[in-house]
Amino acid sequence: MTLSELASTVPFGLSLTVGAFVLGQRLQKRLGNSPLLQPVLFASLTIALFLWFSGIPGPAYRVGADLVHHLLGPATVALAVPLYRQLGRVRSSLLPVLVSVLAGAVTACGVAVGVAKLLGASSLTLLSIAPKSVSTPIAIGVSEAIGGDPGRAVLCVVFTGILGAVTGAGFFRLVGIRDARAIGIGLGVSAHGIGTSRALQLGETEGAFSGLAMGLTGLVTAVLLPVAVRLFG
Amino acid sequence: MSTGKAGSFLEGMLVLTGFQLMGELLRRLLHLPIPSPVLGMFLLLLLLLWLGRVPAGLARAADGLLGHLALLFVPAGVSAMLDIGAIRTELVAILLAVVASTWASMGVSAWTLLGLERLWNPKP
Repeated sequence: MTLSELASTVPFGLSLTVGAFVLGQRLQKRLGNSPLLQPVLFASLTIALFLWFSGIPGPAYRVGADLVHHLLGPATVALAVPLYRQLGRVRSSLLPVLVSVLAGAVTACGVAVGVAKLLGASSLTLLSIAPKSVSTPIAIGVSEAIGGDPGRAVLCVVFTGILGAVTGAGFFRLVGIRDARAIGIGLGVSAHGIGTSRALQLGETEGAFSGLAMGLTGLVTAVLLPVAVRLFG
Repeated sequence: MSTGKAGSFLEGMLVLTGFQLMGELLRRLLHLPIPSPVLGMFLLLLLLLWLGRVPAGLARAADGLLGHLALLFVPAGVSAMLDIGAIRTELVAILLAVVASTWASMGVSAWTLLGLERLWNPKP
């Protein structure tokens, strides 16, 4: 029995995925919940390095890992629950919220694709970077739907979230925005779930608006982006 | 027999996979480019708005899955890392695009909300 035989069994990929993630969570806790150490990033990097050093091919790892990956579908559907809960809490500002989410989501896609194109990125990268500001499961689905690369999309999404969470508070101080609702919207639109967890630390209003903005941004992007690609792509 | 108890986790899971399946059906019937889980999310949101509450089993399944959401991205993250050689030449372009777009959308959405709140809900 060889290592590569064992490596292409279900429990191997499954244990490696969950194990590396749990290790990342413990490290993050030890570092005082720093937004810089994202367990997803830590686990992805360690597993990739492990596979690379041990010579185990990616498809072998995916035999077990796909079990985890396929749960993204029902998890995306489940996003309707927090979205519904937040909708009730911000009812009086619903129209302003919808319009600002739309403006922010279009800006996020437009600027990302525009800058990347200007700097000579390939069209596969452009299609993968376009959904960078939405929750990862939606970004994976959207990038697959428009012909991008889900792996690249995940990288862009996670980097976006960390950047938004780490620089958000400083950004708003710099531009002189102190309104809790506006800060929540800004974080939720630009930095999805990671930004929303930062917004929750800032306050309950910030958290509620950010959670709603994150859900709506995902919905708006998932509906408009494939249509835009079909029209202009 | 307690297996059929209302509001069980499994019933909640069945609602989630059922709505994903409906999303899949809708996507294929109407040839939509939108991912089927997103269509499922939208349909479920409509149902919740109509119901006016979140059924207990659905809340349990949704909170359980979403509580571990980050774990579910790991396989895609690993693929991205294994593939990083392919984007080596584009790394700077990607980084700059992400930074510019994150700050731009942060500012645009926050300022739009501030402006519209002043118009819609003016304080005396």
